[in-house]
Amino acid sequence: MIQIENVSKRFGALQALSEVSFRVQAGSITALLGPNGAGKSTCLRILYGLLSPDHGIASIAGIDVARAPLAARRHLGVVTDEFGLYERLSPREHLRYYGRMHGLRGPLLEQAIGRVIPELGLGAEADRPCKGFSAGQRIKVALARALLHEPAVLVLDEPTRGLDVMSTRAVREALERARARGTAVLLSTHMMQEAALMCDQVVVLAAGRVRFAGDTAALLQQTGRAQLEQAFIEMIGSDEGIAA
Amino acid sequence: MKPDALWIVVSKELLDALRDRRSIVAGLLFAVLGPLALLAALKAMIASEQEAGGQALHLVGAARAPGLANHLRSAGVSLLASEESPERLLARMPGAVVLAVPPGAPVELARGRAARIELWADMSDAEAGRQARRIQGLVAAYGVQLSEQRLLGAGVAPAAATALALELRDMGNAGGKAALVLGALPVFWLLAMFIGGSHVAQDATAGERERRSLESLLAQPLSTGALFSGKWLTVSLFGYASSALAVLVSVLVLEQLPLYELGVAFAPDAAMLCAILLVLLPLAFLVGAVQCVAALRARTHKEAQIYLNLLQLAPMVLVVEQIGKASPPAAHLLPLLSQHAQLGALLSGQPIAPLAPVLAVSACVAGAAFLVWAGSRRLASERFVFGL
Repeated sequence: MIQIENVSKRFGALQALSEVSFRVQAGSITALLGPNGAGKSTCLRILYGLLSPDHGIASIAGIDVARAPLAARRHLGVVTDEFGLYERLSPREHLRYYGRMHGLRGPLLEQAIGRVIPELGLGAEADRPCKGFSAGQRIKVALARALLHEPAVLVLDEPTRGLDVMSTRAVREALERARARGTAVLLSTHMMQEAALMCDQVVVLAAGRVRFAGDTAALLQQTGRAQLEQAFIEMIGSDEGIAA
Repeated sequence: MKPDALWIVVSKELLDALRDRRSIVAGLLFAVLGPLALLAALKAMIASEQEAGGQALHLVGAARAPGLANHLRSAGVSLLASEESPERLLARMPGAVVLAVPPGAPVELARGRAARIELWADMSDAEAGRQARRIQGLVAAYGVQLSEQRLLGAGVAPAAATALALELRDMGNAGGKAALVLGALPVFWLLAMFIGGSHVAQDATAGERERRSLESLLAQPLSTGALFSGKWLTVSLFGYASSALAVLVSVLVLEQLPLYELGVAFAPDAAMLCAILLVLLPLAFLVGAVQCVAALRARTHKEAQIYLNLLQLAPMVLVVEQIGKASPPAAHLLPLLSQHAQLGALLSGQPIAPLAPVLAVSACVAGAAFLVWAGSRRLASERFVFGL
């Protein structure tokens, strides 16, 4: 569903990504793991078509994002690193706006909204302006917005950063439900625990290069370590920017 | 770009902007208060003029001219009937103004000749001179009424007998000052346009960056052209609504003011109102585009506010530079200046320069189209979106 092939990107003197390749299958969750500045966000932004790669191809559902960004984005649900809510709009109004951008109209749109609001537990605040929402409520709105059109691919940039336990769990459950429906989920994180708990595949990125791609058992095996955290440190060659 | 895509953005921006009550009230307040303040000044001028008219007029032989006496009274002149001779009256009260209807006047009038009446005043006395000129105007107007009745009686259309209608526009008197005040109104309408769309432009562009909603928005399947155009249309709509409101308030209030007291001919009708609103329309689209592009440069509301406040100074150019009769027709390619000139012409009942509307609309459309193209491109640039 997601295919990144030999993607490189340079910002001035900084080589942000060098020949990055990995795939995410339908009905699976992949964690893009790496310390701060490893190139995770750059990689995801290339996938939404907001940055164009210098080399290589990023495709979603077989569509080259750089060539046909709008067509590719129709299959894509996105949760960016800042959830970016409009303070004066309610969650329901956010969902209407995003749903309409994805071509949902009328009863179909209302039906989709009626599905995601209870799914993410937004019933109580669905019609309240988002001003003053907690971080947990905000991620739920952002997730509902991304899941509304039942995308084939869901991409999230550090979705659990700054969340409490309950909200983290709600996010995890939503992602697991999406996986069960056959969605290809890619999320960037530096939380080892999160990656180990729900991901089918881990892609370790450091200094713009893929250091490892496979499941966590293979990561442990390859590094000869018993703990994921140590395996990760071994992979990236430093302990900067990770959290257990 | 599909109209549907535009509407998705416009409807969201409208909803969002309309919820921002405080900004809307502030914008509208200006749109209403500016013209109201100007009109209050006009009203004060009229009041002082009416007070001047309140100085009594001595009418000698009032019984011989009841129609004239009624005409003067209805124009607000207070009359003092007197049978003294004008010379004696003036000797007793040097500042007085005396209108004398000689005994033969009614007979002359009845025979269809010109009835001679006399106005006595010391014209070197400013106050008396002003009053005398006013009475002169009022009596002349009454004379025209009588002539028209005579012509109608003789089967001649009064207009056919009026080859010339001379209007005195004395810039030294209150009427001239009032004309100046009226002339300032368009500047307020234009200012209202800048202020009305300002907060929407801030929120729809720099606001998206500040609240970090831009990245998520751009990751949706909508072209940057549709996104930027939707924002631009919303901003233009707010600017236009605010400007139209200022126009409506001005016209409604002006209609209540007895401007004829100041010798100002201003009778706004539906046609004039439509013409004013039409002149403003293309400019609203250009101003909206300039505001969106300027605010898009900013990363925060505050920064955008600085740019847009500077832009609001644009109508002040009109204080120093205006399109006059001597300006070449191509001057109407200058937005703002052209609209100002056209509005001025409409207000004073003069014809608009023949090519002006075409040139002004072309300039606005071309300018707005270029800016919308540039803004859409900017929104699609990774350098801009991520501040690289």
